Formats: sequence, structure tokens, C-alpha cells
Amino acid sequence: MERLLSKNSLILIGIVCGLLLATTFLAGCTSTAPQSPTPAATPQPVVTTAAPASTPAAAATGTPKPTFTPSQGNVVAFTAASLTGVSPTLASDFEKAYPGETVVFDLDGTQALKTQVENGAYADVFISASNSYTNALSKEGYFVNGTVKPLTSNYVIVILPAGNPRNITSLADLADPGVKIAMEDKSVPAGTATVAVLAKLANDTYNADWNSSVFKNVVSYETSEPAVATKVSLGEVDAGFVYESTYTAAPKNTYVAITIPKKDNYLQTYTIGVLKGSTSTGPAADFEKFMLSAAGQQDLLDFGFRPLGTS
Amino acid sequence: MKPSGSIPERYRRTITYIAAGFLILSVTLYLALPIAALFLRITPDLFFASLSDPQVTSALWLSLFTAVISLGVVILVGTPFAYVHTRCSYPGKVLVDTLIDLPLVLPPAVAGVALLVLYGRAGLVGRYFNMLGISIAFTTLAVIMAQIFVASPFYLRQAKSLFEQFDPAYEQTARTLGASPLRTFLAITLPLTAGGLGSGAVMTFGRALGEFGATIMFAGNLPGVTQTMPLAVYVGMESNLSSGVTISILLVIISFGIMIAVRLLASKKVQHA
Amino acid sequence: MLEAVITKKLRDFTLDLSLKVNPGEIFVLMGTNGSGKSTTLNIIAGLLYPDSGCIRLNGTLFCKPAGRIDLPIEDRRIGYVFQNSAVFPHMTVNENIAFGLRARKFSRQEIAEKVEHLTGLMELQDHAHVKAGNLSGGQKQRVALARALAIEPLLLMLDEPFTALDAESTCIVKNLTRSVVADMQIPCIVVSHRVSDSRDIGDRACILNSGKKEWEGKPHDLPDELSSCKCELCSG
Repeated sequence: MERLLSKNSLILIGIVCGLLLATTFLAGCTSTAPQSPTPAATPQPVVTTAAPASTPAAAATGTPKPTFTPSQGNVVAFTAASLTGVSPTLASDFEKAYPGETVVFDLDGTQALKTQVENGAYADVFISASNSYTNALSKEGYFVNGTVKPLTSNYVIVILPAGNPRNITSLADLADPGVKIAMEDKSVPAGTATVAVLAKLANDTYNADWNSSVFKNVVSYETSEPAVATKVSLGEVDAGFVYESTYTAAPKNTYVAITIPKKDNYLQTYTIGVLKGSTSTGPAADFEKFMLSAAGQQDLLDFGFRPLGTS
Repeated sequence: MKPSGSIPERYRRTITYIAAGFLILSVTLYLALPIAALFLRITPDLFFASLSDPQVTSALWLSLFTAVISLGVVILVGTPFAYVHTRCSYPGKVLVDTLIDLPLVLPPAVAGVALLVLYGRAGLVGRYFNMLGISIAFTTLAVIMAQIFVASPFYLRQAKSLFEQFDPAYEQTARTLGASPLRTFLAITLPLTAGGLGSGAVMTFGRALGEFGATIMFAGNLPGVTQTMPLAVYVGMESNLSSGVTISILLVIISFGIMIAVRLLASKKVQHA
Repeated sequence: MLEAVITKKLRDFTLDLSLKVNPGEIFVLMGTNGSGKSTTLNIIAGLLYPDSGCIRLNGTLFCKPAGRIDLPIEDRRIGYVFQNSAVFPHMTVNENIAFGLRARKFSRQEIAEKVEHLTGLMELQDHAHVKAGNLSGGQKQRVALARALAIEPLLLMLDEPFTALDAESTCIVKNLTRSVVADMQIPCIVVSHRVSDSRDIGDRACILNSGKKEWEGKPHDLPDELSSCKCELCSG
């Protein structure tokens, strides 16, 4: 060892590497956890383009970049993936309503976001697509008291690729042999919703055989709701179960839809809440206020979500 | 830094050893602690209970089955390909060289999308297969194809490098003695490069086993058909934490085994004349 | 008899020479590194293709670019011992020697006989089942020579066979080469940069410089020519 490197060089290298590692550890402890492996179908976080001069942190970096570390005036919103389409509109409208404040959306399956929060990821606001996940996080004490509020709702719908190549005309056809169906995994809120819908349909209209045939036709349990929509739009499956908002927000003629009767449908309720770990509590509260306000709610309606209080 | 003359000799030696020890310890801990945390997260009872969970066993079996087949294809096709590629010059050789490395820099999800739009039933090539009644996407075959796509560069680069650096004197001698190119390859080149090829194969197997992004995009996620271990971990972490951790531990154990195998194969020295 | 006229454009110069080696004669090809000696052997063996010329062995045409004649390497029956012997390290001595015979589909019986004869000739009987990679330099060279002779070559070529050997092994290999060539009455080319080698075994020698023959004659005439050469040959 002494022949290869002079002793002083070795000491210097050791100190530098040690400092680097220590910095890494410290940075890891204070910043958010890295994102879980997300497939391409899961949308990327939305970057906001608010005036950078008003926030020192943003001014220091110059060009705003997607960031999940706390910074003045910025809201990190862990958001259920089904809000991907509406998120850019929400971001720009929020900034118009609250100049100087920005929002960054981390969009993913609610189950993945919940796991991240439970393991120390940083977020100011949590928008969940499932009451049960919200309740679990509440019980574990992650939310600031009194900030958990219902946000919006969504029904389940069946979408088919444009042109409906398999010529599916009714829900009964979904049980036909050879039909390829995509749905979300049961760990995704949309997945549990779909399972509930199918059970209700089997109970009311069709029978247990129909139910098991439909499940036999499932070729993939996707890990997020937009991933199902992607598979349908590519024509790789004959039908997929998604939220109505996904269908409504898509450009005309992307999909053909088969609606599910309300009595058999499952109304997914979304909730919003401010997380206890938030250090931007002012802007976080402002964001929640915005989402619940007429402006925010209208954005959601425009993209196919159902108003609160839908029966 | 103080000039070297001012630190006494005996202190310098101690400082050197401490600094080196700190360096080694930091790196070791950074790599080992997350793995240790996995093991500490679950009790042996839960671990063995999860092992009998059908979702765990089917993911384990599927992963091993597909990875072995992927490896087999890569070796059987890749070895002669790498040999011909290094020994012959042909038009477009530089392009092929670059293509071999492409899956390494391509994000796996992008690879998955590419495979889907090519071989999916609405795909450029897949639509013809579909007409013949053959579906590729969402099948176990798709899992294997995705694994081959992302993992083959590991083997091909290794094989290429080995054949390129192989002392030409051996093959030339064999040829002058009367051996055909095929006999030369089988009797001389292969046995003498086997150690290096073996470690390339082991790395390929490891990569195929851990493949996630391309698989979920191209093959989907269906227990027993396309739900490999990495997919099962991702999906299982939410609904059944202990099965997720169990599968993760299994993957760690297999990966460790792979690493040790690489070490042993690489240490087998290639003999020189 | 070997008759070779070779022209080949190389990176720094053009190789341009003609050779004639009689049966039973050892011709020493000398010159500095990079003067084209090994390239010449490779062209005669068929591992490289010349730009023009003609190579003929015992009347058989091996190579003639003008006439697009190029006999494949396997068919030329040339015994070629490379620098550093290139014995197959994963095979035993016997397997090494038998390699050419098995490639040419000799019967088991014939192979066994030949191998036994050659190991005896090279005094390698005790190492017959040793992996060739474990032998000393001198032993490896003898294995390489035996291996080349097993196929009953019509021409023997040795590229710097003594460079990596100690004095004793060098002596043994030189004696073996001389006796084998005399017994089989085949032409033999030896590439070397040492004057002593050419004087010990050579019947004729030439000096190559940048691909051209600068001098040709009897080895014992060499020392007188040395000072007039621009090349650095080691004496002794």
C-alpha cells in the first residue's frame, strides 16, 4: 500500500470519501425517499413554471426542476395516478389563484405513495383514491388533524380500443372466450373498485360463471390505472376497467366506452389531506383550499370526475 | 495538508490505517445495511410461512424458469454470433457493435414499450402472428423475450471481448494442423474462453432474473403466467408486506449466489502457453 | 522444395522477396522486429494473402493471386511452430500432438503409434499425460515441434523458436530440429534474430530489412556483413 500511494494521498482520499459518504447519508435522511420503480405508463411528475424570483430556493437554481425536497412556497402533492390528465390544469390554476406558490405532483398508484410516506418520503399533501388507504394513514397519524376532507369522486367504466375491433357491445360480451381484458391489481384502489363492481354485476344481472369467465379473460393486473388505459389505447387488449375521468378526459374517439349501471357501480371517493411532516404548511393549506374551491372542483369536473355528493 | 515532514512516522502509519479502515467500513456498510435491514424486517416463521404462499412459489418458479430459458437462448445464439462478429468484417459491423450495447443504456420501460409496439397483436410484426392465432404480448414468451432483450448485452459484450483478446496463435496453430474453423472453435477457442463466458452468463442470468420495467410493459402482470419475482415484490409490498419481503430476500440470496459464482469462475485462470 | 515469390503492401513498407529452400535444408530468415519475417511465414502458411507473387511447394501451387489460386490453410500440410509455442494449455501433451491427426481423421491405432513415436523422439514420455499449460518453456517448445511433425508436414517453419528458452533447452531443440529435417528431407525455414542460431543450424540465411532482402548467403559469412548492415542483430 505504501508503495502504490504516498501516505498523505491515502489520508486525503480517505477523508474526502468519508465526507462524501457522510453527506450522502445526511442528505438521504433529510430529503424524500427516491421514487419506487415506476413503469413508463405511470406519468412523470408535473413541473410548474411559476415566477422563480419570488422564492429564494427557486431563484438560486434558476430553471425550476421537479423537486421533492421542501422549499419555500412549493407544495409537494403525492397524488393518485388517475389525476394525471387534470394535474397540469390544476397546477396552473393554483398558481393563478395563489401567486408565488407552486405545486409539484408526484403521480403514482395510491398504494405505492402510501408505502413511500410510511417509509419517510417527504410530501406536503396526500391525495388518495381510496378511503381505506386514507384511513390507514390517518390511524398511523400521518395527517394533520382536521385536514382530511373528501375531494371528488369517480365511477368505474369499461373502455375499448377505438374502433372496437372485438365488437364488444355489452358487459355480457366480456365473458366471451378469447376476450383480453386488463384491470388494475387489487392493491391499486381502482382494482378493488373493479372487483367490487364485477361482484355486484354478477349478483344483480349476470351470474357467478360470468364473473369467473371475466377473470379468466384478464391478461394483466396493471400496477396503476393509467397503465390499463395505455394498454387499451395501444389495442393490445380488447377491454379495460378504468375511471370515468380517464375516458372523459381523453381526446374524442380514443376509446369506445361501455357504461356500468349506477346501481352496480362503485363510487370511488378521493380524499385530500395535509401531512404532518410538511414544512410548507401555509402553501399546503392553500392548495387544499384551492382543490376544494369552486375553481379546483370545476377543473376536476372538466376532466370527468364526479362532484362530491354524487349518489 | 501539513507537509509530510512534520507528522511523526508512527502517527502517520496509524492515521493511514484508520483512514483506510474508515473508507472500507463506509463502503461496506452502505452496501450491506439495506440488505441486512431486509433480513431483520421479517421473522423466520413469517419467512417460511410466506414460502408456502402460492403467489410466492409461482413467482419464484416462473422467474427461475424464464431466466434459465433466456440464458440458454442467449448462450446458444450469442456465442456463435459473437465469434463470427469478431472474426469477420462485414458491412455495417460498427452499427451492429453499437446495437449490441443499446439495451444497456435504454431504460427498461422504453424497451418494454418498443417490444409491445412491435410484437403486440396490434404491432408491426405482431399483427401477422395474431392473424395466425399466435399471441406474444401478455404471455410467458413475452417475459422471456423481454429478459433476452435487456440481458443479452451482458453476455455478448463479454463474449466479444474474450474472442477479440484471444491469442490468435492458438487458432492459427489449429488451422495449420488441419482443423476446420468449426473444429478450431469447438476444441480450442471455447474451452479456453469458457471461464470468462461463464461469468458473462452468470451476469446475464442475474439481470434476466431482476428484470421489471420491460416485463411489466410487454408481458403484463398475471400471477402464474407473467408475474415474476420483481413484479410480485412491487405488487405484494402493499397488500402483503411479509410476502414482499420474503421474495426480496429470496432475490438477495440468489443474487449473492450469482456473485459468488462470478468470483469463482473469474478466478479460474485462463492458461497461457 | 519451396519456391516463394511474395509481394505485399504492409503498413510501413512493402514486403517484397523471393525464397527458395531445398529439401533437407534449413533456411534462416533474419532481421529486426517488424521487418516482415513473421508476415512472410504467415503468408506461406496461408494465414495472410499476398498482393502478388507465387508460392509453390514440391510443384504444388499454393497461392497465386493473379490466378486467384489460394489453397486453404488446412490443405497445405505445413508444420508451423509459433513463437511461444502456442501449445493448447488445456490439453495433455499426447492430446496436443494428436490434435492434427484427429483433425485429419487418422485412425486411433495410427494416432497412438505416431504419438508414442514422437513423445519418445522429443523425450517427453514422462509428461505424456501432463496438461501442456504446466510444462516449462523448453518442454512446451518440444511439444509444439512434435505436434507440427505429427502431420508429416512437407515444409517445417519455426518462428523465433529459441527466444524464450534457456541454453540447455535451446541446444536440445536445435539438435532435434536438425535431425528431424535431415531424416524427413523436408525444407525448413527458421526465423531468428540471433546470429548464433543461424550459425548453429542454418544451411543458408538471409537478412530482411523493411521487407527487402538485404543480404543472402551462408551463415558463417554473417559476421563480416554485420557491420555493413543497418540492423541491430545480437551476436553471441
